[in-house]
Amino acid sequence: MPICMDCQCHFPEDLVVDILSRLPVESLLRFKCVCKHWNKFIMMVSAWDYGILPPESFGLCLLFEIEHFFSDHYHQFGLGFDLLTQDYKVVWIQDYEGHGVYPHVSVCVYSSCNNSWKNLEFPPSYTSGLPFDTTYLNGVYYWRSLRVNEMYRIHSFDMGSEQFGEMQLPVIPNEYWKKLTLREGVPSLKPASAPSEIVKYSEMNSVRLSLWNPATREFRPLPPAPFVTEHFLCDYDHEFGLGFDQLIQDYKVVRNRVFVDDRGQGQGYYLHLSLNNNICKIQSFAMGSEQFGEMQGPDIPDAAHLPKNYGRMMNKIVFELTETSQLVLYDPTTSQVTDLGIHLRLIGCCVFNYQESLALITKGNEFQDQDNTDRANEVYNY
Amino acid sequence: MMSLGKLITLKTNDNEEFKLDKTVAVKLEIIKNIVQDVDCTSNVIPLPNIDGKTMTKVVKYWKKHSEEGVTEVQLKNFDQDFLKMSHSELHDVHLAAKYLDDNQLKEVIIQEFLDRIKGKPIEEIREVFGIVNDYTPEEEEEVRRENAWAFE
Repeated sequence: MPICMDCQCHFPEDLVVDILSRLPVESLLRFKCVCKHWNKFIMMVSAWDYGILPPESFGLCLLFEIEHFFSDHYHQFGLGFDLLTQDYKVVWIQDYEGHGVYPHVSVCVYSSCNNSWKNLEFPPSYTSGLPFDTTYLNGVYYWRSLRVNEMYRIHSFDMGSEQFGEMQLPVIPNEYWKKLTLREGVPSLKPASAPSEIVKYSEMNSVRLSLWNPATREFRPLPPAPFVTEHFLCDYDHEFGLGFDQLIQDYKVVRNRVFVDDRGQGQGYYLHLSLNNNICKIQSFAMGSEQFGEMQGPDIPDAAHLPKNYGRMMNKIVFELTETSQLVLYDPTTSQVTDLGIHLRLIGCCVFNYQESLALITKGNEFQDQDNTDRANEVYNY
Repeated sequence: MMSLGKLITLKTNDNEEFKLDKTVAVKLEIIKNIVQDVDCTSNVIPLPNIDGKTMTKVVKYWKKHSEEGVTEVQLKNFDQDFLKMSHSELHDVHLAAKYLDDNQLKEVIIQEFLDRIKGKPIEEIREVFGIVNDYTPEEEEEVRRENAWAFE
């Protein structure tokens, strides 16, 4: 099917897709002016999963700044995208646990279409608790929580329907729960699939991993990794990634010892920044071929910059430079470092999440000098 | 099974024939599959989707890139020369590479298209893709205004 039937373009859709899918968001937005069909087509891209571009993950950064008097409360932010209405949403959960008299959870949702916040009520049966280890998959935001004297729970919030949910957890005594980490399993390919998760819990002073698929309730403790866990390493020294080998439909977990940061990734790459010997290297583990790879790290003088997130679209990594508090985008294939133009320290923010996106955040209502926007939150579109 | 001759003949849709060394040809998935799967007695493989003019270019590319002892620099210069063709010719070669499942050539073409449109004004983009602007000036202004930051 030619993409530009009406405007006499002789290029078939697939070549145009091949070309456009490699362009940065700026170019795509600019190219909306080429003709009406391209405009429609580029708009569709953000709502359309054709395998090359994940639908909602193209260029958004949620920066937040919490006022000091909030600091004794627990906060959690989620950034999501409602495909149906092309609306960015931010969910903000505050938990007043610990304030005795008012064990209370409040939730607000921001919509970029309306440019306003609204309060949501948790269902009465719902018990929240300190939100930890959040993840976002297929339009649903997940987090883990623990109330005093209760079992861990996993809660979810659907960005489209704005419904809360709760998942049943595998039966593991609380004392074994060291850390529960939600990781996405099979993104976008199977829209119906729930995330697969790695459950990490401690057992006899050693770290054990388990795989858990909430959709099928399967629970599978993994055999111990063949290296010895050194006791002096704290939990965070043990990082792991969950991936999915699409060829043989096999979940794989990769474990490493001295990693500083990582992002498990469904495309089959596991990235981390190794700060050993102050050398900035990015290593990858291809889930399909089980091969380790190594990429040149960004050419920035001081290696002590933490990767913030892993942009899926262009395989880019966001770094926060410690010296200058600049936010930069690093592309391992071209070794290019791009300054995102945000100086975190100047505006007193830190980064919650980075995604690239084609849907404009200021559509709908004109941006009104933050009239309805809570001062604590700013959403930037790239 | 195909006879084990050293040469394979590729025949385009306008009946032009290209004789290729088998070691070069079987590097391509599609040729390999035909060689393995099809029980043909001749060494002629028909290419119904490709014309002779385009195939000449593709074969020229393959031959250079499978030459022995050719240096990186020579290949780079060759590619530069090779890519000096019109937008529509480039498009034809892309289609052929796609049909022949030659990912390397496909990538080279896509990269060339990217280079041709990178940072170019909208008018030149339309030219590359042969697109006629169907916006009214007001509509175009509106779209530009919406995406103003991308034009900065």
